Amino acid sequence: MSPFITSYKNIVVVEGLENMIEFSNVIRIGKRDKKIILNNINFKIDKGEFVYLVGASGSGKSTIFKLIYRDIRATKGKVLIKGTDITKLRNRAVAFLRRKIGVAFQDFQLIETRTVYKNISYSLEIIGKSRKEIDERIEEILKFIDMENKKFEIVSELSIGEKQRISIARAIINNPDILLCDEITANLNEEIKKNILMLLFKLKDIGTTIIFATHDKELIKDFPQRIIELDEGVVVYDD
Amino acid sequence: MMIKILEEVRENIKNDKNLFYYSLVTMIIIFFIFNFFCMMALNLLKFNEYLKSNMQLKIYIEKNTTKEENLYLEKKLLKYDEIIKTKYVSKDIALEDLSKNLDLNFDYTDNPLPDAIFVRIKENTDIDKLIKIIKTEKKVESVEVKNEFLNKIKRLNKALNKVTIYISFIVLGSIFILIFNLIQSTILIRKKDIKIMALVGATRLYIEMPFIIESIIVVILASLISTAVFIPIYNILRESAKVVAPFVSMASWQEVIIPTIILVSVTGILISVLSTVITMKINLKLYGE
Repeated sequence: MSPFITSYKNIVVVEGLENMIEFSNVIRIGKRDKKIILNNINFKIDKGEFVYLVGASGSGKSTIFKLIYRDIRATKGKVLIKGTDITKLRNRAVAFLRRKIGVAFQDFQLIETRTVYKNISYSLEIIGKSRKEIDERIEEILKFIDMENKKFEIVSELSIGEKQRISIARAIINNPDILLCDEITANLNEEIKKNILMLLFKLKDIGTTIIFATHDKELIKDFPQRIIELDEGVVVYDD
Repeated sequence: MMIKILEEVRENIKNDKNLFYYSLVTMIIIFFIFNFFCMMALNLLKFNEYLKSNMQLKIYIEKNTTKEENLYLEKKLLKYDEIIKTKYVSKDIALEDLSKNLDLNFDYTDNPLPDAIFVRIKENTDIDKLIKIIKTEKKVESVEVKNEFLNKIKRLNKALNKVTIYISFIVLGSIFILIFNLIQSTILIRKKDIKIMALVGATRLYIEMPFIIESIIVVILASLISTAVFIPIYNILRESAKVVAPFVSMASWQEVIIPTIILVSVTGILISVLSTVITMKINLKLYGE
């Protein structure tokens, strides 16, 4: 039995297991064009680690994210999350895997016509939390991202920076083990970028593993962390 | 959890309300037509049964036959297995009835009508064979039967039953297509919401259930509304039929509606769920490859 997922519903955290994410000889070939997107990728990311994933457009950053939240499968090799090879995970179990992985996107992926509350509460509603628990958790999370007064505002009426913070709030409301941030600071001003980074470091401090895809060299210089660089589907730098 | 799913159903309908109402109205019309054909088939069947159970032969007796001979013939006829009941109608009573019906006064001294015995026969009797046998009896002048009308009704009933079966297939096919289009359109409109739900860990059942419930709601609403419209119209038809043809007793609305609504609701729900599942299989790729 795998140490991470023992059944569809029970996700077991094994104490002492340090590697949160491990890519082992991962190859991904495009289904239609048969083009090699990722070629023999190997890296390990520990629990509570913050990693910048850098590389030009088309270098394979988004593919790595999709492999982690099991939107696609590796053609060859293993993608291990807490020791479980998720390439072999059945579709029915993917929903339960995703509850432990938060994803924030550059384009937010929010439901624009709904309130901040509704957008964030989704993640808790689907796992059957009570209204009281949801309310308490949302209060807590909105305080954490400094948006307590925007609870019932419609998302379409928020600024870009606010939408990005809501997108992060939705990603972290379930206390995920892993947070994937796909170019979330692109098109944001320096102050908002800094605020968001500070928010992510707070999460790192409480043990969340964060992978932050970006092009922004200035940001990396200001907040230095481990960097994994990709070029045409190959890891060219890891430090 | 159920409340959350119902909220999603409401959201589905809100997001695609035009197609929802269009599908609903179309389905109401289809169900109404189906009710109408069921009503026709059922009532014609009932009329056919009525005619069959009232199947009657008129046996005209030769002139100058004595009362004793008439009585003997009547008794003999009653011994036939196919005959249920006999009734002797003298030529005087026949003339009296005729004058009443035509509202005319006839001269009773010269009555040209023959004496007759009216015979009620069992269902599924070979009438032609029976007539041949009765004609061989002494003192029988002729035998009359209104068989052609019954055969016409039988043929019409058969044809109507066939049409109703075809209509049933059309109804089921229409339900399938309407629900398929409705759910497909809702999925496309809510593609982003669905993607987000799957991303944050919603199970397939949680995402699919609102679509299944939505399709069931359309069928149930259409079935109830079409029934509600059909009942008063049917009652008016029934009352009119009583005036025009008092001898015909049409089925009550319960007799028509209850089997129809069960048929429509049960098969309609099954078809709509099947259609929804197929649509979702084609259009919902929730967890990637």
